[in-house]
Order: sequence, then C-alpha cells, then structure tokens
Amino acid sequence: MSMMIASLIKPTYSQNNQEDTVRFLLPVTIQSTSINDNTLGLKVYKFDSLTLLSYRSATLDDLLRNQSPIEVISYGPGSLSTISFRGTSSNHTGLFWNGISINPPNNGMTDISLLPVAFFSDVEVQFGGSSPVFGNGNIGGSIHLNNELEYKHKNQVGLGISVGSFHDYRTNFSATFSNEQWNSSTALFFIQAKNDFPYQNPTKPGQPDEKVQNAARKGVGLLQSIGYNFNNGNLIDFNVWLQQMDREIPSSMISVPSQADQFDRSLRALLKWTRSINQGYLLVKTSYLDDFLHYTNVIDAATLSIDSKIHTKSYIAEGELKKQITENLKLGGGVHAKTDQAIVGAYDENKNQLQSSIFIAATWQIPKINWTANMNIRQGWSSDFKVPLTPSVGFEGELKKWLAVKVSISKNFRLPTMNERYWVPGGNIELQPEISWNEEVSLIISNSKAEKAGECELILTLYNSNIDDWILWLPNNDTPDIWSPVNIQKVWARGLEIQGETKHHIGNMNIQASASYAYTKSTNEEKINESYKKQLMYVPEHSGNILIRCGIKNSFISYSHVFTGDRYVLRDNSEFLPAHNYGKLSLTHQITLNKYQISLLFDIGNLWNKSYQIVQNYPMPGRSYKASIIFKFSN
Amino acid sequence: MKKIQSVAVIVLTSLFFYYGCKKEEDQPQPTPQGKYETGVLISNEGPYQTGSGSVSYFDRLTGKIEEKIFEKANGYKLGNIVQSIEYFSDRIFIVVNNSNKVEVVNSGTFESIATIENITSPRYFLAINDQKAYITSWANEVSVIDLTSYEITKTIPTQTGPEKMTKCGNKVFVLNQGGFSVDSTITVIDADSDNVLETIYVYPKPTGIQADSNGKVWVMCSGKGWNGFPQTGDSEGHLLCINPDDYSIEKDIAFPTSTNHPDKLIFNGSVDRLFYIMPDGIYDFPIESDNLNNAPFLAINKMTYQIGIDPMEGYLYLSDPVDFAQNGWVFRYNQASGAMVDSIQAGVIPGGFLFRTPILIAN
Repeated sequence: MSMMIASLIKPTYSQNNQEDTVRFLLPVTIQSTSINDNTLGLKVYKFDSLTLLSYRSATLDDLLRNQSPIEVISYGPGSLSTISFRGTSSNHTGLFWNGISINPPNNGMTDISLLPVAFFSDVEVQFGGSSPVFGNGNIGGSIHLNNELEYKHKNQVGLGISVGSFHDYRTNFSATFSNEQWNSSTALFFIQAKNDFPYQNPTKPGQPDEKVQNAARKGVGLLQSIGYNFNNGNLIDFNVWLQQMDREIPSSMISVPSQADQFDRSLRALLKWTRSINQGYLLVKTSYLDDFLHYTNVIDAATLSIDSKIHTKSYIAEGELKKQITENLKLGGGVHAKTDQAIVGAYDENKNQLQSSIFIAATWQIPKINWTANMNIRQGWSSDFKVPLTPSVGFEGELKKWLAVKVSISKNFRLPTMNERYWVPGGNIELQPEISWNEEVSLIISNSKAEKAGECELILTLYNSNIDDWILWLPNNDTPDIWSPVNIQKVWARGLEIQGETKHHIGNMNIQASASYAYTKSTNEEKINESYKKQLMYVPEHSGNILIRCGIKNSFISYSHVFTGDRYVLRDNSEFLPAHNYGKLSLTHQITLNKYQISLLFDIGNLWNKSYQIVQNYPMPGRSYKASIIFKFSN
Repeated sequence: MKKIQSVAVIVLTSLFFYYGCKKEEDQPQPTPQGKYETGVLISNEGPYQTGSGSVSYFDRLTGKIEEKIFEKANGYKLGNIVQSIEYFSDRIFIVVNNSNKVEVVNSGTFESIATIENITSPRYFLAINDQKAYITSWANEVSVIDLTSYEITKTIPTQTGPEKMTKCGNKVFVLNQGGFSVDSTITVIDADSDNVLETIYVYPKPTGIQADSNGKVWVMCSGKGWNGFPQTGDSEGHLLCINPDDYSIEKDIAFPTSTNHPDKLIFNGSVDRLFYIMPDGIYDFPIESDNLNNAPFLAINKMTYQIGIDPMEGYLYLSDPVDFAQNGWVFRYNQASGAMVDSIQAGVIPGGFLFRTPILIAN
C-alpha cells in the first residue's frame, strides 16, 4: 500500500490533531506557526495530503471553495477571490505563510486566487477570532500556509501537467534535495487560462448564450527554500516566494465587456531561526514582503482610461520563546514588529506605518483529569492608533470517553488599513480600530477509540461574535461621488456549525465521508438605516458541504458537494441571490514503479452543470473537465 | 392627495425641456393607453458594477409605488447604472450608462420598442424632432440617433464628459462636465445641421442647464473641488444666465466660498424660480434676482442625490440613496411652504425623475 493510503485514513480536513482532539499531553515541539498550542479551544481544520495532491495544480480559492465550508467570495475562476469567515468580512481573515501575515497593508486582504496550492505542504484553516495569538485583523478566522522542511535523506523531483476546460493549462515542478543537514526545496508553477466559459445571460432579452470575455490569466511563480540543521538544536531556513500574474478583469454580465487588466507581482522572503532549548524553543523570524499591483482599464480608447499602481513593502521581525516550566505549565511569549511602506498613486504621498506588539501565553494542564487551559494576552502599539489590549482564554477537556468540550473567549481587533486612512479622495484619518469579542463552545462526540466499528465523530460548535466600530465605505452626504470609510456598524455574528465524519474499512476498501452544515446569522445592530437588524450582504444563513472519498488499493474516487443558501445583495435585504449547489467528482490513480510514481487525476467540476453566481451577475462555469498527470522520482 | 376626475387624460411630459424655448411644432396628441401613462417615473441607477438599475412607477392618485416596471414588462433586466430617463412622443428613453445602451419602451406599457446600442457611457437623451435625437456620451461626443431605425447616424464632437443638454430654438447647449476630470465648457450645436456652432467657456464643472420663461439659458457651475474635501486649487461655483443668441453672459453670480459647491439646477412649473443643492440643503433663486439666498429654502441634513419638481402638484422631489447598497427614498416637499409631504421608497440609487402629467380636458 502506498503512503497515500495511510494519509487517507487521516481525516480529509479535520480538527487539529484529530487523534488527540483534546490535547492531553503537552509536548513542546517546534512550530512554525503558533496554531497548535495557543489556539486551544478554537476549531482548526487541516487538509490531508491526498486532498492537497488532487488540488496540486489549483489555486487556493478552488481548494477552499470545493473542500471546505468556508465562504469564498469569488468573481469567477482566476478572478478576485476572498474569504469570509462566520459572517465577517474579507478583511477579517488572517492569511499566514509559515507564520507571518501576508495580508498587504493597503487593504488588509489577500486575493487567494493568486496562491498556488502546490507551494504548501500544509494548509490549515482556523475558525474564530484569534487576535491575541495572531494579531491585527484576525476577527473571523485565519488560513495558514506552511512549507515545512524535513531533515532526512530524500531526493525527489516532481513534474505535474494539467489540462482543463476553457483553455486552462498548468505546470508544476518541484525538487527537494535533503539530508540530515541540508534541505533545498524548489517549487515552480506556470498557469495559463482563458476562462472563456459559456453561460446563459438571464439579464438580457432572450437569455442569450454568451461566453465570458476578458478573463484570461497567465502567471508564473517560484518558491525556493534552503535550510540548514546544525544538529545542535539550531535550524536556519531561508524561503523566497516570487510570483507574478497577469490577468484580465471581466465585467459583470449586465455591463459591457471590460477591457480591464491587472498585473500582480509579489516577493516574499523569510529568514527563520529556531533553537531548541531545554524544555522549549526559541524562534526568530524576519521577513520582507513586497506587493505590486498595476490596474488599467480602458473605458473609451480615445478619451477615458484608468491607470492605478499600488506598491507596498513590509519588513517584519518576530521572536518567540516557549518553555515548559513545570510538568503541567508551559509559558511562552514574544515580540513582533512590522513596518509598512505604501507607494500608492491614490495617496497624496508615500505613507509609512509602524506596528508592534508583545504577547504572552500560558498553557496549563490540570493534573489528573484530561483538561487543558490556555491564556494569551497581546498588547500592540501602532504609529497611528491606540491598539487595545487583547486577551483570550481557551479550554479543552474530556467529559466522558466519548465526549469532549472546547471553549474559547477572546477579544480581537482590526486596525484600519492604509487605503481606509489615506485614499484620496475619501480616506478617513480619524478611523478607529474595529473591536470584537468572540465566544465559542464546541462539543466533540466520537468513538474513535473503538476503531474496528469504524470511526465516527460529530462536532457541534456554537459561536457568538460582537464587532464594534465595523468600518463601511459610504458615500458622503455632501458629495455622494466620494466615498469614505466610517466606523458605523455594530455587527452581531452568531451561528451553529455541525460537522460529522466517519471512516470505514470494508475489505480492502477505505471509505471516508464527512458532512458539515453552518447556520450563520450576521446582522447590523446599529440603527443607521433599513439595514438595522438585517443580515449582512453575501452572508448565507445556511450553507454546507459533503465530502465522500473511497479508495481501493491505489485508486481513489472522491466527490464533494457544496450548498450555499440565499444571500442578500442589498443591505436592506430586499434582493437576494438564490441558493446554489454544485458537485465535483475526482478520480485518482497512482502507479508506483521502483523510484517512480505516476499519479493520474481526472476531475469533473460542477458535475451537475448547475448555473450559479457567487457575486451577483458574475457567472461561474458549468461542467468542466481537468486531466492531470504527476510524475515523481524519489531517491 | 389631489383627485382628478378626468374625462380624458392626455399626456404632456418632460416639461423641463420644452419650457421657455417654444417648440416649433405641436406634439401629436396621443390617446392614453397602458398603465404607466400618467404618474411619476423614477429611474434607479442600481448597485454599482454588479446589479441592475430599474424604473419605479409612482401613482400620484393612489400613492402606490410599483418597482422594476421595465423588468416586469420585458422579462429581462434593464442594465447596469441607469443614468437618466426621458419621454418623447409615446416613448420612454432609458439611458443605461454601464451597459452602453438606451432602451426605448412604449410609454404606456413599458414594453420594449428598440435598444440603441454601442454608445460608450451614454448619459442623457434629448429629442430634437420626430426624426432624430441626441445622446451625450463619455466618448466625448453627441450621438445622433435616427428615431425610426434607432441607429446612430453620426456623432458630433464635444469637449470632455458631455452631460445634460437643453434645446433653445434651433440650438442645443451641451454641458461638458469633465468626466473623471474637470471641464468648463458648453458646446453649442445647430440642431438642423448637427454642426458645432460654438464652444462657450464658463466655469469648472457645469452641472445643470435649463432655459427659463424668457428664453434665457441658465447654467449652474459647481466649481472645482468636492464638498467636505477641500484641496488647493478649488474654485467657487457660479450661476450663469446666458443669452442663447449671442452667448453673452447676462448674469454671473459667484458663490461665496470655494469649499461649498452647488449642484444641479431645476426650475419650477412656471419656469421663473430655480432650485439647486448645497451641502446644507436646497436653495431657491427667483430668476429676476441678482443675489443668492444666504439660507436654504429647505434645510436638509442628509444626502440629496437628485432633485426634481413635479409640474402638476408642484412638489419638490428629493432623492436619498442611503448607502447606495439598498433601496433609496424619495422625499416630497411642498414647494411653497417647504413642508415635507411624504416619502416614497424607490429602488437602488434613485437618480432621475420623469413627471408624466395628466391634464383634464373639459367636455
């Protein structure tokens, strides 16, 4: 049996360390992210390696949209895609690469359609507010992308080629050379797609069949990591992630085809030093992030065009120390400093900002019973705001053999972005940080001990979140043509999440199935207008997904189905986008010949050929096909 | 609300553009048909980029509003950003900016007659005669439309960002507002030959134009800059009265500051008193005056996006799009007293009014 079978037995996306959902033991391990210890009480998903393999040629939007219950707001394949957690906004979502936040300072959100899945060995999704752990902006949840380096003898070269509908061609190349001292990992991707899919246009007379225009993209990326293990407890690694994407920006089906273009170029560099100390570790990171965006739009060739450039640079330094103090108590703490520079055509001059923070964390295992408690406190400073002190407490405990409970309470914040402060015209220098309180409780019911009967697990989560001073861009009373951000809304987001998963072995067949459902109520509680007590735009009350995977020997078949309920497209809830659902079928077959491994993948996207929209009047593709082949040579 | 016991109802409409400068020919008197022949039409721009604009129908007699009447009559959406709406000769012309088209519908039933396509960012429509009409376009031109074939027959170059037009005698005055930048000119076109007669230099951002009862052309220039966002280089607004014959400026009334800019310009039913929007409310101005009022006629502390006057009831209509992402409101005020009459819920971003006027015909 190949190693993929082994990973199949692991959950598709499941709680963090499913095997020990409740962490009875407190091993001090080196973590490139603080996701494990410090997010105690919060819900975390991790995609398994077979899922990552089958999305190897995809960008992150595709993975999250089909395989997780998170709301991905997508303007179409290859177009702007952002994440909204639990009824919050895109800029309430943290995005981390090896533990550093890569959300650019101008708008505080990342377009996940630009992030190639093949670059990461781990993709983790953390639900709920986590500012005390991760800092600014983590109100709804966060995504963690890691490329872990292993120090063991391994030489591996891989090449993946995929061809899909709508002129979609992708190539991935990877090479890892490692031994006990060194690791050099290289990943490359090329993507070229026209995304010229057909759709029926219900906004026009006779509902004509049309094709999406001006939606092509072409990009290339490189991720290079070099690590050295000193074998005395010191590890140093250096990672560079370079990429660029040139794409056309389609207009909605109700407008005339656009001629807009966008060019994104990013350079992300990270130097990391980890040192094992007695019963603990020290982690020091320094990073440089450089994002450049050039948008052009020709409305009329002779007379009217838009040309906008946004260039941001961030320098980040972080240090973290964690140590087991007694058998039951672990303490940690650290510092974080970040300076941002923005060269943005729409600002009246180049702008800088400085943000820093200190944080401490304590984890306490209550003796004799399997209960663990955790506390985090973060105090930040900013060149422009008074940053609130944000604490959190978390708790996980086993009540019965089959029943565990998790609780988390946290205070969270988002600092206004540079666009919100400096955009000319409209930027508002007087904005205050958004502040939220988040509470959640999860019940975990499982029979994972009785493995022979097949594993089952059911998780129920209730959460509540109150976000004050929520910033909205609104037209000015005296000049409606100019919009300004204002701290105006109070948002009350609360909901229920149910997730179940079961795994069975029948003969030589492995079956794994999971289903999730989320009820999300996110309303404006400030009496500003007819939006009072109404659901926020684009937040479905009901959503869910089903994943089924079946494996026999080296062949797998998996099916995913996503359901999204009605979403309002106006703040007074007077108009909505109808519910939609779509399925995806994937077939994988692996052939292993000595040192060679060949994986053949075939996907049918939107299997039932449903017509749907995620953003109003932006079509999504109907049934589509993709075939991939991945060669791997290991020595 | 006024009850009208009409024996027959005929429709004059769009009184705005036909006042003052007398029309050469009488319009044929249409027989009323269809439910939308009388009442007030409100054009709603629709959600920016993603949504469709709409037309709401307000029945003065019942006080009822009907939403999305174009979509109801035709089974498809109107398009993105409905910029303006006009009546001419039994037809309604709806200018849909971001869809580069003008929908032509039957004025009674709202059923589609034609779609005028391929005009870059069309803004306003003006009928010249039974044969042709002008449409301003952000391609910096006026498109001349054949009203039988609904084809573009030619284009007339203007300055930057042509917007509203008014016809006076045989001349059409086109405001060049500047599009995304600032312009300060008026293009005068000979409506017979479609030739440009003159480019009049006025003040930055001409925003409203209309002819008065004496046949003079009034122009409101906002001035450079935005209310609430003062910058160096801002200039004050000007209210101008222009002689349409020799283009001489007969009145040039400057606003007191370059920080508070006037916007829009409309006339009352008798075309001797005009109204405009300032940050603190709606101001009025009798045309014989030489001085601006110091205080608003209607003090308004919320957004006024569009302003209109119903020539029938004499009410002032003020639109409030709220946050541009929900249904907006239209507030009606008594033109004489300034008291609020009522409010009407319109569609998303109510941006244009068209007052259809039933007239009582005596037996």
